[in-house]
Amino acid sequence: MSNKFLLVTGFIIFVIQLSFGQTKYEKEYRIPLEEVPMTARLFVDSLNFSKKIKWYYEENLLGNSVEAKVKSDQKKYSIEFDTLGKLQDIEIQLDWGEILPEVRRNITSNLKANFTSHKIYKIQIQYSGNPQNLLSLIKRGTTKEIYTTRYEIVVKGRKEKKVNLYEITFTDNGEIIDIARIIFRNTDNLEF
Amino acid sequence: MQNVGAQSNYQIGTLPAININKSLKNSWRLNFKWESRQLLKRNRPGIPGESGFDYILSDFALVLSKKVGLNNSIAAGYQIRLRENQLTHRSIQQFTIVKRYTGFRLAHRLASDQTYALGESTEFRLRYRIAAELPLNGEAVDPREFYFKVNNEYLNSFQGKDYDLEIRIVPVVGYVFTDNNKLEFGLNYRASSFLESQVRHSYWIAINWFLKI
Repeated sequence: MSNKFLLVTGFIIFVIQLSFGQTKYEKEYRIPLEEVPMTARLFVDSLNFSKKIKWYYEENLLGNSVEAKVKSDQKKYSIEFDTLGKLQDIEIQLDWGEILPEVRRNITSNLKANFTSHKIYKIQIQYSGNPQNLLSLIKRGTTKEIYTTRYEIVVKGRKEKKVNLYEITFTDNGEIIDIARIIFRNTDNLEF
Repeated sequence: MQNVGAQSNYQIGTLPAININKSLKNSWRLNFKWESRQLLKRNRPGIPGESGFDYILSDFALVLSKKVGLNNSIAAGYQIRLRENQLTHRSIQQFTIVKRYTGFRLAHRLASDQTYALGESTEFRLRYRIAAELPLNGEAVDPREFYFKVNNEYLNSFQGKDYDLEIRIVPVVGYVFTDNNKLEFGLNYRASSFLESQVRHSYWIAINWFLKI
């Protein structure tokens, strides 16, 4: 074996080792129904979706979770549980017009205060709280029981001459709780 | 092995490439690409068929790019091609858009290049490439997962009074070690010389390594 070959092989092994050594990563993958915690399955079953439910396992820095995704009545539902099947939240994709006018006004004025210009890409309403309360809320569209409502909005925002994508969490009346910049996955293999 | 008088026009070979990217300040990026071609089999009309391992050329390209929008980048660079001790120079300009959808990513690349070789008139090319990347698991391509990528490119070439079209279709399977370290393996199919009597088909086994440092 030539020295050049050894050098190149050594370099490749070094880089692969380097990348395997990094343990911080996020991952999401489909899982079969058998691997879904029973309480999570029962909860989603009781919502009586007619469409097929896709189950995912998510690994991230904040802990792992199990998520059910389904499209029903032209709306995308995402129901998240912890790995033991305890309900975390229910997210439903919304149109801007479905938010109450006064909440829309608050959201807009808060976005204007944070960005020189903005464009809304995606809106989700997020419900959390007691599973039984949420169950009656989703099934009947309303409930007198207590639950928490938040809005998760993906916004293209410009500030200090830089354009980025942000995920912004709002309270039920449109006040900002959290702003997180969305970091895109590497696009080098699509550009070069 | 010789095959005298065969009418088909094709070549089969390998096309390994290493792509090293470096992020710079203020949304600038530097891309270095090394790509090489090795021929395994070739058949041309009226010429005896050839087979065996034959190193053909190496390309070295350096491209500087700048993000100009949420999804858009402009880039310019220079490539040197080394073929049997002959140097060919190429200047490159490109504009890319990468769109993200639920379950896949789509990229458009509009590029132009100019090739300068001794004793030949400059070749101008105008090219468009569309590429789609689909995770083979989940809704996004995560580390330690496989993905499928296919791109389709149309290259218009103008040289002197000549015009030619080349079409490329490149399906590959990729593996993500980390977001900054990916390996792709697949086919790079090229159909060219459309305006000559017989289209030339090229089948390259593509191995692409993308690294970000």
